[in-house]
Amino acid sequence: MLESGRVISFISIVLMFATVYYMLRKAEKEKVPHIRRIPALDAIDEAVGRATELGKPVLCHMGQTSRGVRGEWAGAILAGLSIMSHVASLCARLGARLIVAPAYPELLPLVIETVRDSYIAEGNLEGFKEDDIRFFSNQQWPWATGIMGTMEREKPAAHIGVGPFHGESLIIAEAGARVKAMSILGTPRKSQITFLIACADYTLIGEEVYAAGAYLSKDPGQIGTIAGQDWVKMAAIVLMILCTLTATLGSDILLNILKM
Amino acid sequence: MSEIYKKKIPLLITAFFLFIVILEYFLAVPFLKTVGLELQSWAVLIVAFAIGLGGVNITKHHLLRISNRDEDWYLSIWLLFLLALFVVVGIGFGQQSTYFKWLYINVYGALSSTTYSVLALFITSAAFRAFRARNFDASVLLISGFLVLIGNTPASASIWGGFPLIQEWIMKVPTAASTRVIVIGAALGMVTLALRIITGKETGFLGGAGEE
Repeated sequence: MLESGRVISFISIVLMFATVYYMLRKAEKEKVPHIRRIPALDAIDEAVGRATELGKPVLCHMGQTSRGVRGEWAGAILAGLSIMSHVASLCARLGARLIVAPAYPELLPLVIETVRDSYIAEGNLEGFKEDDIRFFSNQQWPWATGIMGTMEREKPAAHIGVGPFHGESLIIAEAGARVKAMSILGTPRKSQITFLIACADYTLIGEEVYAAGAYLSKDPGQIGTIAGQDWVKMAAIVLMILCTLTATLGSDILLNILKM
Repeated sequence: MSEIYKKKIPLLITAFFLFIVILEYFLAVPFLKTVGLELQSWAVLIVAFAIGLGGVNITKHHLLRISNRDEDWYLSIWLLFLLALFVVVGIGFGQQSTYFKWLYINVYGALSSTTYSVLALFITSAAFRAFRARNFDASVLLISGFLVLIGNTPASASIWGGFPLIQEWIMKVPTAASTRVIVIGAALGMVTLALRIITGKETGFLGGAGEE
């Protein structure tokens, strides 16, 4: 029934789902677990406030990957959408102009609706401009060129982008730094994190990207899932130590079990 | 009604297909494999149609720029001309035709290479800002960055034999350990996000993060 070589992965996923779901229910019914502050997410309010004061726009996007929401980075794109939705609400509330540049044509209607809904929810529909939701391309360099051009022409005061990035990450981050935009960028892609750290004012690293929606929602259940994830992380660390010890002692029994 | 139409139905559809894809990966059930393949074809079709939507968005934006006589509006005419040219040549002669390939290599390829080459300049300016000993952390980054850089140069071994060894150690031990932490953390984060979507808890991507 189970695919060969994926038995342990399946059991791990089931156990992880069970743990995270238990913590979700526990947080909803009992005490909300404490999670550490994520400075990059806290800084979003400051960035949008700064843009409002300066009378300059906020540029927001969800990174770029050629496979779009079909690929392995779909989760990161959805997390970026959650952040974009939060930014749209803030912009609508404070009256800042929001420019969104999604690199995924399949998400274009969703982005337009999400931004419009945020403006409606804040009672500022007249502030919504569909023309400020701009699709440049779903290809890496044309999209990066579009972002660079927008930076130079519109001079945004805030640059918020969370999602997958490839070689263009440094170009768009540096383009933001050139126009002195406050940059909040994040990606789970390990090869691009270094570039973002070097160029952005605040960076979301790895799992912080996926936790963004839960963190911003402040919903007890969602925060509970992050606590559940930490329990799984601890179990993974224990497993790693056990594997290291058994391998050092010359036994590969644990490794063979994990390969099942 | 709006809540059902805008949140609940999309969430149900997302959760259903997410569940199917997860099961298809783990279970050796031929029916699920067929469904999985079919879903991938649907996704390809949706993206193909969505490209048209993206084209409409670009055209609308640039027509507006031209009619408003915005700054550099004449460049929008050039963009729309090229957009139309690619569509006409691509559909008329096919993507494998000499004409389309010529356009692709000499217009798209050349422009992409130009943008890519900007990286060389930006790496220097980013390094200039990042590698400044402002505090202890930045100093560690500066020193380790310098050691990796010098260890990668061909002449480093002739200056001192230890440079390549230090570079190798930095890349294989602290760098590898920290990147693995990020990879494992991100993988767990992705699974947790999937669970939040399946249970309908994560609705931020449908709008309304922070509205709970």
